[in-house]
Amino acid sequence: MTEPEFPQDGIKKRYEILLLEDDQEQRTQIHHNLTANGIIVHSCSSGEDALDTLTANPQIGLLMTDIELLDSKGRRSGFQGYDVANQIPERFPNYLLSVLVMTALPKSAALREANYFRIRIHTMAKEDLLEMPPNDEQNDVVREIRTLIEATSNSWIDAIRKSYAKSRWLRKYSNTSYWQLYQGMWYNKNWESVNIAVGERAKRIVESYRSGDIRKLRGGFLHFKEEPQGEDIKEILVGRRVIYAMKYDEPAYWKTFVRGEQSINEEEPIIPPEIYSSIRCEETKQIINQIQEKAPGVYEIKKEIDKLSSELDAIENNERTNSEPRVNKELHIKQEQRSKLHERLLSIRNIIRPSREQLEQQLQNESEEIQRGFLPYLRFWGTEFENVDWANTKQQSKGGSDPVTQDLLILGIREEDINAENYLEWKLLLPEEMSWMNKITGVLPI
Amino acid sequence: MPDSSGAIRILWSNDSILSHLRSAFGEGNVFEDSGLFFSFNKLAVAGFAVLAEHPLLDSTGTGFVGMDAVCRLRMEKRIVMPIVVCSFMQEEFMVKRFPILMYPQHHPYLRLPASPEDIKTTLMQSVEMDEFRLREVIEKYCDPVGRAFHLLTHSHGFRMLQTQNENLMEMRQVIDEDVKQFRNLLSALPAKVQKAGQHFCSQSEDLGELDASELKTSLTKLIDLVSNARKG
Repeated sequence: MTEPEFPQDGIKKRYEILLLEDDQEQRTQIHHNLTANGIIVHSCSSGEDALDTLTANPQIGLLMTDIELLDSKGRRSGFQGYDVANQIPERFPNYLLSVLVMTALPKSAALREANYFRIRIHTMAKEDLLEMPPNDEQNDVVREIRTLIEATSNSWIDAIRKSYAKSRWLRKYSNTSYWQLYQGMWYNKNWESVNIAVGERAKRIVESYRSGDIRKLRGGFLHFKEEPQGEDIKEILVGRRVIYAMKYDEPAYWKTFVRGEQSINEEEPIIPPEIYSSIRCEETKQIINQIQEKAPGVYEIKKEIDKLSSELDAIENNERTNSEPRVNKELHIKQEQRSKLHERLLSIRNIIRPSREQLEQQLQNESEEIQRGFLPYLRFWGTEFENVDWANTKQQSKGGSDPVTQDLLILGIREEDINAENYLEWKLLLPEEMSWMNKITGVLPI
Repeated sequence: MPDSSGAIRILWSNDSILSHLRSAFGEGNVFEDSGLFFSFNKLAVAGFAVLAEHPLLDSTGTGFVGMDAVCRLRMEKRIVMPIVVCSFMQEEFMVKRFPILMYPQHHPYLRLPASPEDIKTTLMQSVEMDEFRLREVIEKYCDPVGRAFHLLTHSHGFRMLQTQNENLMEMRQVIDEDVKQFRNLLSALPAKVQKAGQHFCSQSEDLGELDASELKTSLTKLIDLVSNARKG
């Protein structure tokens, strides 16, 4: 599994660009104009040379290219501007590059040229570049070029890397690193529409939680794949936003499960020591002791069930590509083992049931903090929360067996968090993510 | 590099070379008519060769129906394999007339007379295009509106008209050439563009009586109109 990571030793981007223009006269003029405005320019006349120059100069932050590159015979026999740009994500996976297309065409026609690019581009009128005055810091063209270079700088990427959450949940379901995600977002030419689609989808999932239909998170909405590409990236982004939604309602959960700062398994029916020591009524402790005495070894059974479930998942995943009889037999044996253990667990739960119901009633006399601390424990023993008055005030709906969805139920997602018409105002995003998205959707022209 | 084991499909006229082509490439791979566009498996084809000046199919009277076939293969069949363009004309003339030949790696040019072996060798030295190149070739060089737009914005005469303030009469010859090509495309353009295009063409016939700015303004309006038609 790939660890989420960003390139550690950031390349310091300077104001360096690569100018790819086949017309010598125009190339010389633009080179001169940009240099006179404090920008270091590397010039090339062919796509092949451009790729070599980018390889040798990773500090370059911007590729400025013409679309049509003619050879000495006036033909388009070599790499064109979009051929070079389309190779960038794969050829230079460890840093970001902005791409600016110089064009003499009207704006609408220039945007159409973007169809030939697989990645996100920006456009600029060639006329503006040919007529730039020297030493003019306030010149719009110079400012735009500097912004495009700064956007690829590792200074803000570093800032995000340090403050960004590391979701163990995501790491479990995808081997895509955050850096790969950022790269995907950065080069995604349809980012705006992807972003809206992701936002709308996240909203639907959150609404499903509120209505109690939480199983859709894993079943119907998200489809994680081992090596997500294109559309799959959307699924991951949706998952991320749903997780971020929790940060605002339950910082402790955030610390435990999203940031991975603590390592408590939510599914283990263990009462945290600080919760146990804060119990006010002695009777509550007595009931807990009764339950513990009646169910020796129950945690081990649960662990064994979890272990078998993981193994079965692995076998089932493997089975899709490998349906040997040996695999089917192994699958069958493990399913039977799990089924037997499950039956044992259910019978213990039945024995415990009267004590559990007693505990549910007794917890009414405890503080809200204690009640919240007991939720995983009660869930383990099979409490139906809609029948427990005090629990109903804290959770929004029922159902679900995985820790993420269970906790979403407990935490709830406030309506006001997702009611804003502008998806950017939803509290589904981290401030760093918000800032980054604004950077690529707002500041820079599309 | 094309798949050397794949078939080479040929569009040719009923001339003396036809029988040689049939024996070299196989009876079922050489076509005299639009049968070329039907019932073929892309996977089994290494590439195509067309005779640019194909008289039998010439319903438009342009004399280069083979070039229309190249565009149809790209546009209608989304063919990414190379297409060898064979012609008795000079290469420079053909490239100027048909900008799709600007991509020699995908549309290699073979000056006739040439042997079937020459066709095969030329094809094997060329390359398939990716989806982005195909998109560009279709939009700029095959689709009539795209061709008109590219002609208006990239051809020598129209570019001179837009960027220079010299006496238009001195540029008459190059502008006339471009106007002639534009006229050939007019019938395939949307009605609104046709009307403005006809007006522009008739204006260009009176170069001596027009000042440069008037024709430039007309050209700019026409470019905007064609550009908008492309969006649709």
